Amino acid sequence: MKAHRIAGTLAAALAALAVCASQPARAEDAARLQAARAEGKLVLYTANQLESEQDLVAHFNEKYPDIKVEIVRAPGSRLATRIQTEVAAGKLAADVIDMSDRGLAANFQQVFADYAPPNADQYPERTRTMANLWPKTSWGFVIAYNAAAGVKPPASWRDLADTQYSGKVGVVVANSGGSTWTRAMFGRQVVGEDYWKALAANHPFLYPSGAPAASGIVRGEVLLGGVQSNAVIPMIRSGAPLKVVYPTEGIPITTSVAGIPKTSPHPNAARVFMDWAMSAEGQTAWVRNGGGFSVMKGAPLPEGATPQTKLWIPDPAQFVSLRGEWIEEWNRIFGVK
Amino acid sequence: MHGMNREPAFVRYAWVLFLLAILGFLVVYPVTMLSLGALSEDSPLAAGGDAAYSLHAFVAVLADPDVLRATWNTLAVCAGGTLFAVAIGLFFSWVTARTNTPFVRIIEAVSVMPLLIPPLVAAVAWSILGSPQTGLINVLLQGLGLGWRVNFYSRWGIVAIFAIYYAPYVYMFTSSAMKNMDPSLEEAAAISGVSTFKTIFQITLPLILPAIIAGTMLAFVVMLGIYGIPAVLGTPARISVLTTYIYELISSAPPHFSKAAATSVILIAVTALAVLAQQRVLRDKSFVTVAGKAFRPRVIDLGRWKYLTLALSAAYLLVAVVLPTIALLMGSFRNFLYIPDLAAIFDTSMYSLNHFRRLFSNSLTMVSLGNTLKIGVITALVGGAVSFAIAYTVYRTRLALRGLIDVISTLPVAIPGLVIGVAYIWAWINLPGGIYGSVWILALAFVARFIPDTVKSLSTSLLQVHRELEEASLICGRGRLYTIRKIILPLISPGLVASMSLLFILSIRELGSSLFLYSSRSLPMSVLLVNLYEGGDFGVTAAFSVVQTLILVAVVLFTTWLSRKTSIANKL
Repeated sequence: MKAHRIAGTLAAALAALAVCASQPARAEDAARLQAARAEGKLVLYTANQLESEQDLVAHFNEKYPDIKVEIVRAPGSRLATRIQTEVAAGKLAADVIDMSDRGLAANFQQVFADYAPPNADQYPERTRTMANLWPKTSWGFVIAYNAAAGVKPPASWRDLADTQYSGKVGVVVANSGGSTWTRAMFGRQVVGEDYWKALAANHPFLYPSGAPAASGIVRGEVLLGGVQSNAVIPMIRSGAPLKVVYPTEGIPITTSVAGIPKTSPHPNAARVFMDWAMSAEGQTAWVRNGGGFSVMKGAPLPEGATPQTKLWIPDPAQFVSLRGEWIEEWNRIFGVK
Repeated sequence: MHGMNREPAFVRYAWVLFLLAILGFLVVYPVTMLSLGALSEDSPLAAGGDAAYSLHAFVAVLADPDVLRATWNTLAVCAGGTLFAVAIGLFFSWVTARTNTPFVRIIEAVSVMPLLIPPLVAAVAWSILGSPQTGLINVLLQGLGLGWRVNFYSRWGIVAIFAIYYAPYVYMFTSSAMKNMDPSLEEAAAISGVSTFKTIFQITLPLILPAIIAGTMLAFVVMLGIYGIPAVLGTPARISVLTTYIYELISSAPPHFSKAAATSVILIAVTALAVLAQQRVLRDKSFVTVAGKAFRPRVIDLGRWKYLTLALSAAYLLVAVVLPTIALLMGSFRNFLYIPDLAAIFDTSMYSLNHFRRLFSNSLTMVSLGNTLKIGVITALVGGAVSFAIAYTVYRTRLALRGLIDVISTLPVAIPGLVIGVAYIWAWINLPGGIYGSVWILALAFVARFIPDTVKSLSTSLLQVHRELEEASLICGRGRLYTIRKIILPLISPGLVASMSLLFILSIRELGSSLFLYSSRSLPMSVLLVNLYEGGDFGVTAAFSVVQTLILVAVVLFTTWLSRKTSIANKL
């Protein structure tokens, strides 16, 4: 009885403590939000596709209409060059940097301020090996096929090497960017050691980047191929004759590394944006509307994916260490150069 | 023979130094940064001044069989493209300037249109038309029951698109030369009973030789630096050229700047050789066709042959302008470009304004439009002035070092835009006064990048004006500036207007060098266009290209009108 009462008192005390603890947090949040509103804007450097990111920002602005987000968008390597040059000259204009390529971001990791989102523990270890950098955006490669052309849908990545699709498969060259490198790595490590050779022997149609590949499948120039889900799902929604397959071997996922530079001119707005983008709300907006993936615990999957759909995240150390040599080899096997 | 010998020595030296200082800032400094980049492992800025320099990258590049193959492919497709571009460009300038072919004004206006479309968009339009199975041309051929198929994913495809795409360059150069040509020699030939065709080859062509050489040289050198066309059409056929090889190096992680810069030096060397060759060919030849008497360009009556020139023009314009325009219009108005057969083209339920709606609901569209117009106007005005100063010095004076000025001012053109873009940001990021991040740094880059195009196009006009006109004014005691203003400028005004409109057009299209220099405030149309393109949906890109092309058409119509109004021939 006594023990019970003590326990009850303890629980009450704990509850009170919890309230006390969250009170200052809430007060801090309110103060930050007010400061962010006073700043009024932030500049986002992102490697995400422009319209995908604009769509995400539109959802952010539904909740925070008075924080304007100005986007500078470039693919990873170009963005890294810009950032490194601006940093060297002391002219970095970014408030938030969302890089697609962790290898490149390692070269300027020192510019990022201490930051962790409130739900940091919901993100897998593999995606947070770099201090202060977080997997704000996850891109996944799926197989898209031209449904109007009457092609038999494949079930797996292995199927793309089947002779029935000879000459009909579009492949983006591995060196196009971080996500195509992840896809190539996945092909060799998961689908099979021989997969590159098998696919290359099936006379694939090579594309220099994701855009012409997606439009090639729409036009029927090729009938199927691996593409980023966020490039095709919004297109399908507006009526494109495509369908998406989530291959049985899994989805190669590239997670971004996003953070807030120490020199951010609008640090409060930057934090409000990052907290939101990392929250369940932000991640859900990216998956549901943008057609992307999320590695957050409990995050939804894009439409058509099932709980059996496996997400494959590359080993972050191998992502960097294998890259040069394997891409050389990929280029040789596919006859690039 | 002549020169600025009337001016005191210090004025002459000061002027040359002034021009060299401008070129030093616009060209030499960025190219030096690029060379440093080739010699160091890291970016010259990031290394903070104590980078380790070595020839490692050069050695690696020169020993690389891939580079050799890419160099060979580059020379082959560019030489082929130039050959056809010159033939087409010359034909059109002759038809529009000198013959009584029907509808000549329409032909004239339409023939420069390929120039208005950015190379990347042109390449995509041609992949829609000329893809081996699903290209519209092949769908059409199949629908008509014909057995032939075309495949633009090939070496010949790249050559053909280069030719179509750069023929307007040659045309712009040679047509002003043809328009401002004194017809007395041709008349003499006609009176002596020489046939029309013999006259063309023995009199007309030799007279405008400098314009032909300038146009040929520039078309070749510009092709060396183009990325979009060989990337889109060459990748499926696994054809690598130097620009695609360099792009691959820059987009690697980590980017191989030193190798990319070293490979670019090959392109710079080829360019320098081309300029020196041009100087040699033109040395000590006179190309004066505009002398101090009244003339009106002679129009050749082709008789019935005029229908042949009309038919040839129409056929070419159909291929070069109408087909890609149809591809773009279909891309922009059709919801999706899946066209399995002829009937699908006429399915009206597939057409809508969706892509345009989406384009204009994007808040960045109007921002970029405003920025691009600002940049275009600044580039045309500043670049026109700088280029005129250089062209006048190189082609109308005998000042020391003018040959050097000519070579330096031509170097930027062959460097792929993406590479020179890196060089510009390395060189200019520390400029004072908030230039970095504003539209001014973009305009500056475009002036630097397009000096060669403008100087060469002005050179054709300047070389034609006879000394005696200038001499007369100078002997009468008029000053140099007065003479330029009252004699030279009015005589070459069609050329000057054409050069400035070329600058405006090029600056609206230019992508590569903008990619590192824009900020969220100064985003230009070309960068927004490529960002939309890289998103993967071609519809909105096509819609944007249509809007951009309409703006450029308006510019061309305006400047054609303006140059007609200012042409000396109309005032006599």
